[in-house]
Amino acid sequence: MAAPVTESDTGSDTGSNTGSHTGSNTGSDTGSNTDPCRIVRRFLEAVLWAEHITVWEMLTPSAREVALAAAARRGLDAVAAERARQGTWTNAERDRLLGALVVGLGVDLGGADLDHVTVGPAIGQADGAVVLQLAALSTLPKTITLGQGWPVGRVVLVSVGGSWLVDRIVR
Amino acid sequence: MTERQHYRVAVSLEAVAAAWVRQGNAKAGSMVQLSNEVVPRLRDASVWEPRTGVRAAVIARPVLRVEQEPLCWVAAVTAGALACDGVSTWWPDRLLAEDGADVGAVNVVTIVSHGRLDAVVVAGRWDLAETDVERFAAEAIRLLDLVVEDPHALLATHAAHTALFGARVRATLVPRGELRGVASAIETAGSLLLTSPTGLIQRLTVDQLRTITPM
Repeated sequence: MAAPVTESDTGSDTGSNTGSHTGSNTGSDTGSNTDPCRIVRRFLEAVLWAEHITVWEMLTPSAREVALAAAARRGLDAVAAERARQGTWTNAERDRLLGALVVGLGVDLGGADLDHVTVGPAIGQADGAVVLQLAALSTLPKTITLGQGWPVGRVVLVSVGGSWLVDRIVR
Repeated sequence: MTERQHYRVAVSLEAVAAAWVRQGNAKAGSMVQLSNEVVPRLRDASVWEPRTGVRAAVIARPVLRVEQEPLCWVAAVTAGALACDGVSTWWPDRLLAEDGADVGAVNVVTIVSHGRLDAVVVAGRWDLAETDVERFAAEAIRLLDLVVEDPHALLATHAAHTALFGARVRATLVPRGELRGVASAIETAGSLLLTSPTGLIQRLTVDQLRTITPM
């Protein structure tokens, strides 16, 4: 579960990332929607289209830490990781790191056709968090699958500053 | 003096041309033409469906390094487009009419010897009767020479005849996976650059690619 973050934490983080880099890929594009299913759908679309900055903005701070830790295991040095946290990374650093993140997420979810993954409904809800099931369309007869798709994974969303952000993807 | 061979029927255009190269006596610019082909397979092993039309393969012997092979596809598809009027390219191997319909395809077979490309067979198949195969042969040789002498000129010629750049595309990969983005350019190494909506540039090589389709 995500570590608690304050509204000001989120605001400054998003601001530093979006102000210099993204332009139109902010606001209503990622954070203003309050429907968790639409948030997850938008996140999957961002992964599909390699919208690396949008994907980063849709992650909770703890999810970003997980991504940075994975990058550190693959050679990202601590100074560059801190620049990523501060939002002071160069465009080349950002593109390299987030490009690898998007590719990794695509690989993690690559067993399913993301264009046809269904999202939800919520299968769990706790204080400030919601768990949504992803299901892929099955090619088998409905009598075998009972009319349901195959489970692809679960997405845990956490409410941060009034917006739903992606905290974890559980396969 | 370059030679021309014409067969009424053969199994495969590329197989005939490559066999001619391996026999050792096919000069640069030599061309094979077929009237009927039993197995017209393309880059991705798909079958070129139109049973009519024009089929020709030209043999080139440019002095190329193996890593320059991806640019041969750029040269081949551009030569294929220049052989007809009103045809544009769809990297790496398709030729499109003005309405976007598939009207042709090219294929590249490289023959490697001692760490170098000994010969390049550029095969073209068009579902258009008014194809100028002599121009195809001349352009293929000229553009393959540009791979060595001036890759930027080759890429500029390709860019002037492609329908791909600026299109939102979905590329399926070998063995699995996909990339999406706006096709923006081909770099001098021969990779297609796909730009994401947030500006991430992804490189796509011919050997990674299964299909590339507009979205």
